[in-house]
Amino acid sequence: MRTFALYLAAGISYTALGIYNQNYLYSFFEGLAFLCGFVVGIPWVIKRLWR
Amino acid sequence: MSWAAHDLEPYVFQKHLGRKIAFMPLLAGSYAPDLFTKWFVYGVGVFGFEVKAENPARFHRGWPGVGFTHSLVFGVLLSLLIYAIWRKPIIAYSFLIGQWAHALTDMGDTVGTMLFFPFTTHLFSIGAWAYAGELGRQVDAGAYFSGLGFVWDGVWVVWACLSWRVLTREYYRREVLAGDPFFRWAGKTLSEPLLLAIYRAAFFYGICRWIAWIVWAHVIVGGASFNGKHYKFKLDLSWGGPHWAHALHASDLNNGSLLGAGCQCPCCRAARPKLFMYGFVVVAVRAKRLRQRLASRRE
Repeated sequence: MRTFALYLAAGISYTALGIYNQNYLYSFFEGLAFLCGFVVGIPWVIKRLWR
Repeated sequence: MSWAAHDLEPYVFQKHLGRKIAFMPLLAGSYAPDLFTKWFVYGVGVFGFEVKAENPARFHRGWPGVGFTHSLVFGVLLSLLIYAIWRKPIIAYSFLIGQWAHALTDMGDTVGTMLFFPFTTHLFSIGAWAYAGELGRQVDAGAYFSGLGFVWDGVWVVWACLSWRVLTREYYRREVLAGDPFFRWAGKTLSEPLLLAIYRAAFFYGICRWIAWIVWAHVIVGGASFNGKHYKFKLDLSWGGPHWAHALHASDLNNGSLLGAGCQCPCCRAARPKLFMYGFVVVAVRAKRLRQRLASRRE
């Protein structure tokens, strides 16, 4: 459930970002980078800071 | 062209083919026809200069141009090259399925694809939604999401959502890892959450993109300008629409000599909606009769 919530938050953020600036919607690689950053990168950074 | 179908089709294939298919080559094949060419269709700014195709539609789908990337033979050649490099049939045929799916999907617009290039430069088109690539990215997006194109993408969105089980971790471990050499290889160095994100990325991108463009076109802006002309994004779900955008047709490309009102090939005739519907009914009736005949023989 936690993972699903993370992906959902990533989806809402990316959709909002895409509506705000369509340049972020043009390439799959932008979506890939955003998703990896959101669901893997950010939790990793938070974990590191928490310790 | 399709804006979300190419992202979502691989998940539907994955659901139906399981470990018989390798996901990453399938996705690469699905993106391959537009991967290195689409930027030149819309143009990009380089040091203050705009680099763009002189005739975007012909460059994208026609000949001379890179329209051959949307042909079946191009997929076969690339698959053979892939097989020659990796010597794994599953990678080669997965790529081929993805590339063919892209070429067939793009037949839906008014320009179509040169499916049988180099044997013919004929553009095969169903003509369901307008091709407006020459009007720039924003108007093209507005046109696509105002016509049957967005319905077509919607079908894939629903179908992909119904295939949600392919996105689960259990499915990934059981089927995707078993079928796809890329994920097995990458799994040696990358963590599973990262690999899962990579695997789910096209689904994520396709759905978000579909929603974002619809909201942008119909809720936020409602219209856009190109070359001084303003286009209002009015919803028009008629065949070949939206008609407010000047749609290019297959007859406008390749010197206009091949596909047009006078073309009598089965594909062009099927492009006319009424004939298409009649053809569909005939095929359905024939299929039903055949099924009945086979059932009676079995008895």
